[in-house]
Amino acid sequence: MEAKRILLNPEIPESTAYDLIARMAQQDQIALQDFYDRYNKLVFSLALKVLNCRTEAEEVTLEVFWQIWQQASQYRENRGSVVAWLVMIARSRAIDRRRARDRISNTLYVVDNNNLNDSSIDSALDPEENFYTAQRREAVINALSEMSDKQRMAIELAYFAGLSQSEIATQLQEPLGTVKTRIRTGIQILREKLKRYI
Amino acid sequence: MIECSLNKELKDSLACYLLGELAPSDIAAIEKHLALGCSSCEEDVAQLRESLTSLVCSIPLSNPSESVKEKLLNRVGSETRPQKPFKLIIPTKPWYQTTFNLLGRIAASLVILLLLAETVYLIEFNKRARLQASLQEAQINTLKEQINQKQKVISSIGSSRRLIILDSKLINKASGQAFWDTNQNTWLFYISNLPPAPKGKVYQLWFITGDQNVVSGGIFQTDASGNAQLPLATPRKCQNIQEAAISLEPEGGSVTPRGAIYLSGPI
Repeated sequence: MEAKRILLNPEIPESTAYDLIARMAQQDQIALQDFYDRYNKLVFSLALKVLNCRTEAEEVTLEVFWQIWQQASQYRENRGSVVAWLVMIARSRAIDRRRARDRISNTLYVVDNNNLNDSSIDSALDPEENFYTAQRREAVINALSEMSDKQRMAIELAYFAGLSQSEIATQLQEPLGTVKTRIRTGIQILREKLKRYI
Repeated sequence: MIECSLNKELKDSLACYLLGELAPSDIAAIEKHLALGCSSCEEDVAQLRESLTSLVCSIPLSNPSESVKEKLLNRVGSETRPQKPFKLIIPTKPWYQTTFNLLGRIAASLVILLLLAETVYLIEFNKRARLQASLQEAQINTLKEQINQKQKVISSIGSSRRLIILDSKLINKASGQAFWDTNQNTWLFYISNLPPAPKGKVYQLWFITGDQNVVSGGIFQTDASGNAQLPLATPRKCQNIQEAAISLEPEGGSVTPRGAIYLSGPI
């Protein structure tokens, strides 16, 4: 199966991302700087979304790029795009940080529906890349808009808060089976709407 | 391409697998199935992963502070990356070094072989030398015994007053000595280098008196070396002995000497 490489840009960015990863594997610090410049907002924003704390999000961002720098040689193309790999690491780091923090003070994840109305564009990306990013972002927002509030919240709690389906059921005060169905069908909608980009 | 064998429950849980919500046993079952190379499930997982990753597009982008980049670059500059696994590198030697090494090994092998051969030879040589030494020691012991016997004889004839020397005109090396104990009136003849008598012949000792009377002293044989030792008493009616002689006679001896005189000497 051919790996899909088009999270932000189906033509240019991923090929560049592969090159940067390959150069980092050879300890090219310039490649690390380029990679950081290209994706720091993505990583930081994801961490901020999960942690809702700038200081912690910055610390996670630092750790994520440090891990990428150290493990660049371990990246395998057949396991997904570079961005999918980067986002997976960033999400895992941020959720681990959140869980560690929650063991000390149990705080509920607050779903911010206003995010869907934010249409900010990343100025670090070139115009062509922004075009594809905007289209993709629009497709995601459309997919989420088709979901009910509880379905959207269930997906967001699962993905950004890292809550288990049982925890989501408790927080949304819904039966576990209902939560499972909401998440499964919600992801199907997302997959269907993003089919042309994947 | 293999046929998908994943049960429906797990197939429906692939998204939960990516979200990290499955029990370890279910995660292991899915990963084992993917490792078998099910292309259908691989594609599902890839599409689900990209779909979930796309959720990031829904969040507003924010800038971290500049200090994050500075810290990252400082850490990269100051900390060393994990060392790659140590790999033993065997340097390649030029051909002439390899050739010299080979020749050196051959030469060393030859030297070792020569040393081994020399060692074997020395061991054999040592054995022979020891055998020869033991033979010589046996000869020395025999000679010592002979000397002892002669010393005994000499001591026994300490009162001897006469030494008779016998010469040979037929055989250069042949000789004889006789000790005459005048008190005991006994004789001891030592014959040397007189070849053993031919078959049917014997040597016979004669005493010749002043009145030209010849009296037999007895017959004898020499050993393989031509030696003989003859202790005897003076024959009866034999006085005023002037000469002793040894002749070759027919087996059993003769009344008077008829054969050739091999040894003789005045007394």
